[in-house]
Amino acid sequence: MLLPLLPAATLLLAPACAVFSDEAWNVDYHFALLGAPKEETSFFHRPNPSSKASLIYTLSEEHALGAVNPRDGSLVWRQLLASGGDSHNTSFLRAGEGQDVVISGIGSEVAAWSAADGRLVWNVHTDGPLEDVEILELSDGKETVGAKDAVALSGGEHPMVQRIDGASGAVKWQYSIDGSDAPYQLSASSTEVFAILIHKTILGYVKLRVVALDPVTGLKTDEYMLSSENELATADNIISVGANSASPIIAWTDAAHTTLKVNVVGTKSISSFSIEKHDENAIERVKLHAPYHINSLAHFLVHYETATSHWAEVYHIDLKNSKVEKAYSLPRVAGRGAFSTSTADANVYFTRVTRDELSTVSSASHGLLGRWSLSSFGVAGGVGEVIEPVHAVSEVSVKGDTVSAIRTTVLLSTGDWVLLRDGKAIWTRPEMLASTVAVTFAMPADMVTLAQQLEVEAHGNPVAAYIHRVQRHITDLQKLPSFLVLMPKKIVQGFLGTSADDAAGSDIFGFRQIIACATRSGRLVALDAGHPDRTLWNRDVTDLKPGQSWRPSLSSTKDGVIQVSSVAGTGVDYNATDGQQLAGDLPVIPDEPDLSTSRAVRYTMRGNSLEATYDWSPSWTFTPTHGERILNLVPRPVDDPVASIGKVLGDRRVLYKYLDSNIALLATAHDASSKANFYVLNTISGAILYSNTHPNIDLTAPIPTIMSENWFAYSFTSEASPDTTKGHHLVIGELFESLLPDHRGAMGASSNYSVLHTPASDPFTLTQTYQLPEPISRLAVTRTRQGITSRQLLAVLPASNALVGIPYGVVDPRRPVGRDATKDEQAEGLMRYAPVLELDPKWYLNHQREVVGIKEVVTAPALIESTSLVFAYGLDVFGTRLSPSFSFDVLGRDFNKFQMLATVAALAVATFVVTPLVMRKQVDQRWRFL
Amino acid sequence: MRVNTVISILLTFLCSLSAAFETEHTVDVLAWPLSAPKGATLAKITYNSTAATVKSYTQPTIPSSDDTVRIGYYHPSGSWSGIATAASNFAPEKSKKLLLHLNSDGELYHVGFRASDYGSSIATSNKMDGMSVELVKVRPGPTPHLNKPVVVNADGTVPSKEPEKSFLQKYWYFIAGFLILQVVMSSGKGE
Repeated sequence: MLLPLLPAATLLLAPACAVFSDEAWNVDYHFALLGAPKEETSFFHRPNPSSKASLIYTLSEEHALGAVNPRDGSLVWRQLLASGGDSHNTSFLRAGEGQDVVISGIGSEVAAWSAADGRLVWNVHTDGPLEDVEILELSDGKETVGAKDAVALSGGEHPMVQRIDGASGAVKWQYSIDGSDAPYQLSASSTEVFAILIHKTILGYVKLRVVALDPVTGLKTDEYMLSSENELATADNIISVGANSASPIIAWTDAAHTTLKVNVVGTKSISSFSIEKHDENAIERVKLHAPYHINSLAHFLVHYETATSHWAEVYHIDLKNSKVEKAYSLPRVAGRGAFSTSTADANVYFTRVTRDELSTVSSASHGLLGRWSLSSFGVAGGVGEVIEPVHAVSEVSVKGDTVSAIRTTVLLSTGDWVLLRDGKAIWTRPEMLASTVAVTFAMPADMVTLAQQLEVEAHGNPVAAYIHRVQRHITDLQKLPSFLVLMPKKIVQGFLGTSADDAAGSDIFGFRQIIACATRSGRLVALDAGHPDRTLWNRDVTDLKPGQSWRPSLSSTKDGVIQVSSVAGTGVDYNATDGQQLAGDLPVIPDEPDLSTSRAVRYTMRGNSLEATYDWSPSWTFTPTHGERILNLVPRPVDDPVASIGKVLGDRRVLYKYLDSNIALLATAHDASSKANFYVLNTISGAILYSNTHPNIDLTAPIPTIMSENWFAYSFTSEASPDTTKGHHLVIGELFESLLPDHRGAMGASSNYSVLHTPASDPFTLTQTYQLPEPISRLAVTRTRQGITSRQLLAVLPASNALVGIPYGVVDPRRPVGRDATKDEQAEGLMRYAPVLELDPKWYLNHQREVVGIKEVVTAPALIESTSLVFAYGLDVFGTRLSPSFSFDVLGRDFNKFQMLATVAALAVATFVVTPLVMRKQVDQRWRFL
Repeated sequence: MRVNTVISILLTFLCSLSAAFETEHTVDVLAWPLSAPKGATLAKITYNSTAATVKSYTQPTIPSSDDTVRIGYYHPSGSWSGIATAASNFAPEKSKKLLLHLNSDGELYHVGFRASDYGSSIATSNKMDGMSVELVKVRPGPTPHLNKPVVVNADGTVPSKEPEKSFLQKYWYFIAGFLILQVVMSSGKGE
């Protein structure tokens, strides 16, 4: 009886798994992402003023500041900035001309970073949240040597303007703004610093108040109110307050976008232009693009956008009398477009990216300096989707009257960030994956048909099954010609040792599953786990308004189908291979019984309590006591196969696992006493199977939990107390039917029971705590097809930007405490308990990679038992394959087929050669003795 | 002086008395068949952090259409906490047991229920009409089993090990025995 358990036991003995050097970089993949770059915080900049090479700097929507090499799109450095947690979601990134630092502003922190390597130079905290950060470019005749100073405008209760020394971060002067006006933006000309404030009138309109400051002393030189009359209803209608140009401007429109008003900051005159309508659609957005350079020509471009088209107008400012006049306009083009401004010496160039064209004009005249047609951006979109540019930044070099080289990075509507060099896509970065909120694995539909057919044959009656099988073989015969054509290629591939997962089209191991990622922007992106470098498809599945967030859940109910469902909404199904939406009933037949008619217990978290319904009427309820809040709830996974119902001990006796598919681990926190409670619940009856409480917990630190098979794990950070040590703890609890070997507890071996009728006696729980060197922010567990392979606990380590796979045997709660393991225990793979769990470097699945900002890890079984697929997301995206008990059912990469066949061939030849010799010898021998 | 002693003794006595007679809590555990609009009292239970007694027990009336009954109680805040169990468990011949889950402050946070076929095997002191009650206190969470700490002297130094005995000190009796043997042997030869 124990014989079937033996292989399982030997698997458990397998030592700690490691990432092998020939698998590293091969089976794993990693996208070091920044998140969608923001238009106003992205630019080309030279990190070393003496060299011509420039990098692309961006501060993204995920608050990641980084530099990207424009040559290949690789990340040079990156820093995750804390946003301070407030909803005030503005961030700034500035680089002074010829400076080797970039200055960022986020939350209430201004920081300077070395442009070449991303090291922090200095940082300053302001009292209130930052409203704007600018770099002072003073043209006092001589180009200042050394770092340029920054000016910061902060809001809050005491709004003020501060000048921060560029070299040391010391505050040179500060000017407190009086009055109740909200600070809006900063603007600096070569001689003055302007703080622009928003003044609310009694009638509900807003007016702009401008305070001019002396940049050297910080004293107020002038203050005035712009007479914007009644057209400025909200601050949203202010298009731009240009900074750091020879003549900074403020521009705004009325709510209906019929007139454009421009004011040169420092003067009180306002120029008014009426906006022409180009088509029947109303203008949705007006953007202003002006050069960010103090020596550039005072020209700017106004970009108008309707739902279907866009166009632009270029204006010149006469510096002598501060008059603004229209110079020329760029024609209307269908679709969305992006404009970018680049400067070379004093000249200003505008680059326009449309759906199918890239063109550059000089700000002085409308003649095209260069024009390239774009065939494609080289990214995957949805079916029939037109990919459009959202915003762009460019670097232009002009020789004579033509553009000699142009590099443009464009953020596309798909969320990809693309670099175009002379109109050709050089690289793409899938930045939309940085905002992934939900992920599921799906098998491609064609891979599973055979398995389904075999299942039909296994469960039908013999005659029908035989007919079915013959029919299947006949249909298979039709594939024979194509198979024969491919045969030589396959044989050659086999000889050359290219392993099976490289061969396109065949996936007998199930490594090439489709990973569907739902992003916060409402798109569904599919990756191939075997070839993650290209996106399979990327489509918009929602109709989100700006600022609306999307919390979908993804699942693969059936092979080849991805189901997207939002909160309380019914799911929408998509074909996993090409992203086509499946119309309700066509190819998808619900093969599982309709849940609404079957008697099921469902439970959900309502408010701060768990409520279950049975047969649609309320069933059990778990309400935490007063002051206790639910942290999280992890049920045992629905698809969690377990191969062995017991644990084989060293003396061949068995400890029976408490296997119940309806158990869940609930974690609650009591803030007043800083306690954390953990409950194992039966989700059918609501009974508590096990509970414990930990005092003195740091409740601000993450408390991840996981439940699988018959065990649960959680981690927390504990404060020092008489009972326990300060530090990060990992607790493992394992549930058994009985702690006596070969004994099945009160329920015996009864095959059927109901927890409602005969509540089984509580499981016996063994727990153990290990102290960890660093905190864990998320726990996950590997999953394999049959559950024969031993499991690995996957832990995200945010402090070292890593993902580790801890073998279960290392944290087994049955490790003997205070004594060495006996022979039987050693045979089981148990070793003496050690209070500190040192994370073995071999467990780090990311090896040399730095996996930043992981929020969630999902796992899926491959088709072969040994392997589990892992996909981690958050900011970065990281995926790998894991074989917790080694790849016992597949040949490794180091297996040399050619060598093996050559050996067989050599042996065959040797046999042929030697056979006559041996025959003759045997015959000779017979003659000699008889 | 004497008065003080008397008072202090009295206070100590009172303190120990109050500790022994800890405040008793009473809870009404309700049985609530799924179809019923509200629950009916199943048992009145008094408990403190160490013991509980069933004060009264009412056999619930369960409509025959219901096969599931909720058992629970109302928190002081008015919210409901409870579990589900089969209606057949309330048959009179079954021995029933309520579990009161107490948290570390001795506060009730959840209930449990068990029914078994065979008679009155469970302790009888806190039992009434086939209904008994048991307290389940939340366990303190596991803590790491640390290695033994190093004990230092009063001046903070690690105590030095006792100097090891020399070879002669350890095995002098062997040598002595050998010598005596030699002496005895030689004296025997001399005779």
